[in-house]
Amino acid sequence: MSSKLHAVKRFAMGGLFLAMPLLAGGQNAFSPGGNDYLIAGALPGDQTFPNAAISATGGYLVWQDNSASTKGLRIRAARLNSSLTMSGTPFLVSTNATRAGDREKPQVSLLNGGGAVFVWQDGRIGFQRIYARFCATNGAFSTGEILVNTYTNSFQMNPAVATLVDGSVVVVWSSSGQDGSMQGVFGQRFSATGTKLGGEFQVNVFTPYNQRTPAVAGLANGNFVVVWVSELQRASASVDIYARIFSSTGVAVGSEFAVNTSTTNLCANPAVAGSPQGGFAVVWSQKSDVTQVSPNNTWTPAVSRSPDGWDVFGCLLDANGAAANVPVRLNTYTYGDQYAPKVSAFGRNYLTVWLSLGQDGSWEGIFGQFLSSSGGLEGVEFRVNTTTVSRQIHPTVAADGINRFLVAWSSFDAGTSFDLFARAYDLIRVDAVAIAQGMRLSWNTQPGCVYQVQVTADYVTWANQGSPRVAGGYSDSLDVSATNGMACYRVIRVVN
Amino acid sequence: MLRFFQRTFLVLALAGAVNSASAFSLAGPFEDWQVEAIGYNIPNNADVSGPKNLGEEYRWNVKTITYGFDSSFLNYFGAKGTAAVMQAVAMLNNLTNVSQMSSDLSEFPTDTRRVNYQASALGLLDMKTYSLAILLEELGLASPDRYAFTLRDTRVVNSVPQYLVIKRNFDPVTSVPSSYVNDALYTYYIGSFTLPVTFVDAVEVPVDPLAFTHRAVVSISGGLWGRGAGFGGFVTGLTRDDVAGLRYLYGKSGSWRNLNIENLIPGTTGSGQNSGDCPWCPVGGTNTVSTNTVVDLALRPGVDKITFQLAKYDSTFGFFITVTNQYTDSYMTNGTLKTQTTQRVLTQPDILFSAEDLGLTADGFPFIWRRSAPNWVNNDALNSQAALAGPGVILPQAVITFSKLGPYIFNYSPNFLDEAGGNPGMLWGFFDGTTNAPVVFPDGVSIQYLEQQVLSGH
Repeated sequence: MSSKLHAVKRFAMGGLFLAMPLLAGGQNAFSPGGNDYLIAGALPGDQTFPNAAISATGGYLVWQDNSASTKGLRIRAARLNSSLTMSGTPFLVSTNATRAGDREKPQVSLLNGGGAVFVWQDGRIGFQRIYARFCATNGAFSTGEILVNTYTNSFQMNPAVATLVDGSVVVVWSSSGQDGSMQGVFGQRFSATGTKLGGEFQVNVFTPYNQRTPAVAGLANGNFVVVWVSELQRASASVDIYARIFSSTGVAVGSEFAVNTSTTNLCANPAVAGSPQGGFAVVWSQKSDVTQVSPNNTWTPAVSRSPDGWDVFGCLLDANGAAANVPVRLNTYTYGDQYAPKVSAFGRNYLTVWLSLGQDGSWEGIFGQFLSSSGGLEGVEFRVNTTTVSRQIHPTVAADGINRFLVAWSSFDAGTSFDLFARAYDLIRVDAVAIAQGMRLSWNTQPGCVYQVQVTADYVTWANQGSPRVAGGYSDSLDVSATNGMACYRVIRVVN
Repeated sequence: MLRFFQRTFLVLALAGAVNSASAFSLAGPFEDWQVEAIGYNIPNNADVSGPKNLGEEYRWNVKTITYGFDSSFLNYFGAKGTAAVMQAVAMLNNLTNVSQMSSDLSEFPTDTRRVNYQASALGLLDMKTYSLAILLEELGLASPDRYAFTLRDTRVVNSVPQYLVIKRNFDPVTSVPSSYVNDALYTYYIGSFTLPVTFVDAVEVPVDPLAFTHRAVVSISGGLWGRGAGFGGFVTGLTRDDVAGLRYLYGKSGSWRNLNIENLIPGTTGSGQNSGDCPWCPVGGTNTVSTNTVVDLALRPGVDKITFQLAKYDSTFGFFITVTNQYTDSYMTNGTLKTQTTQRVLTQPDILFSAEDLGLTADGFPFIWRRSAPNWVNNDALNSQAALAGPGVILPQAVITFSKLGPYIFNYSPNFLDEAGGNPGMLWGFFDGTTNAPVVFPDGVSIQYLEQQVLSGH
């Protein structure tokens, strides 16, 4: 096998089934919808911690920005059009000029009837509060800045927000000292117009030590799920990911439960995405084991740290919280640290992105992996950022619910320091048209990427149909002969 | 048996009995068992102190500490360098008296770290932040992020290597050893290292890869691997646990009073305003006539608050202008707190900031800062019958030196032997969270030049 083909196999991606004579469902594959692009333009100062929410018609990108005010970090946002580029100019979400301190770590969720809700942590360091602001379909703010948390001692931080099936909104965050021991996880529901629904509620059951850094997702059945990190809950040596499901009215459906199965590995940075199919995916960072590399009878050198530090793990759960699969490691490249994953979903498709240290040859890079509907890996991991020099940090991912994922991150750029970059991933849409000798398959492509048509007769074993094809434009086609009426074709992207 | 040891000593372990989220570590001279082979006094780390147990701490017993900049610092770092250090000093001077702090120190944040992202991409270290961290070390604190877990001993028993891990990170209220620093949990693993010397250590592991790895400010310079703030990292002030350590050392009254038998700094005299009411004054001595008699050896509380005062440097003649530092000393006699006015005549600052080429580590990396070991005086014999490593006092002078190596480039054979293939090293800078361009030392190094270096592929 030539080295080129070997390389192709290494970078093989998942694909899309095409049955002859009919298209078949099944696995999906995505093609980058374009190169990296400056999604909010080249702005002065540092634009960091982006978060996005999109639909087929566009959406919002929100970030923290040190150039909007001389008094500290502020929250800015931009509307995105259907092409996932900026519509208009960036605007300030947090406009209050009297509160001291920074506005940080923004999150955004689209409202079911149009519009969006933004949340962020707000205040001087060590004494932050959680704020929210709603905007209407036309993009105009429909509320002022709403103090989300009722308990205001110590600090509240790391907010997350989700919109539920019934149109209401739930915000969760970490609160220090409120549950009686260090940080706990709390939530507050809102109507779509920004009115508080009920009081704030405690998410975690186990309260000693820290329960922190929560994430939240709406579920297809109307419920929502909160995930968080809990320290020293399962054992004296455990830091785990816990989850709890609530009804849309904020009533716990059951008690909290551990998501990760390992009891000896540290876990951190949970993210969660609900699938329209009913379940949800949880991803997190997980520390690899310490390995004893030089066991001998002297006390030095005796042990050494495994070079594999943090990895990204994930699993799918059904709507009741039952694990659909055993957690799997999502990153293939394991040397050093892969961490801080984010996940988004539409249909049966999940995309996870994370930070990887040194993998792209220069500091942090953004890498991704699709998950199948069974929780396994779909294809292999891929690098998201085209530019690799210096730092690419703070990745986030959003799905439009139809056929695209949007990945955004912050990257160092000459002259304007850190700017926001993005890349879209489009579902590979394969069309089949009957021709005299068989069928003509055509699909969308990204120039420069390499695609492979594959065929199967048993839906298990796939064979390459022809050679890998380097896309020169935004579409490609291949004529196939109809020698077997039961053949099924798919197109996969094999090189980024 | 082996599994037992692996589980006990090699697998990540945490202290399940931890009830606190707050802790600090104390610094002092290395004890006999604090040797290089188990992670102390590591040459590459330019270590100057080891972690101390409670009751064996070292501290200053003057209320005012003078600091100054010598000509090497002024010539290289200039006005912006002195401004960086003075911002750090201001953070210490702005602290309230220990006696006025709340019991739980809730007025102090558990995290004061920020990132200037431009500086992070350019490989800059914030001089203000490191100055503050090193000053905390000079005041008697050690890195809780380094000594939450530390080795007391290692040996081979029945052919099985074993490691005795202790905690030198203490809750300021309960005195319980803690695995938390500023609310952040640590665990550890036993790691072995070969550069520049072979040693093993209980290496702290933060439980969140996104968390800053040096949660207390003092840990930024006192951590095992230094560079604790990271490129672009800076602090906005002291954290709760930094303050907790200072409160333990310098508490004067109430629950936080820390009494030790101490001498005054040598050369300290009375100011001529004292009453002569002292435990060693002759019977019949007056308590109405002013005297230069000073009560030297006495049971003393902490000084409650230390203020840093700039010692001015006469750059024309090349010496520090002599100052007389007059202050009120407090001591106990017959269970009563007494005061006396004392003074020190200073021809040199207590803490001197300097600049020089500090040389290289054994593996060829430039040292970027150095601090001299404080002048420790162990007063154990005065305070107890036991053989302890303290308590004691810290005497001047301490010297804090920043590297003036300037911009440097690493080249590697055989493929990276020209300027374009070189890898730029870290530089001292001075920055905050605004969009103001970072100051790069020596002042005048072009930001654009650094950006070009970064974006050319390094």
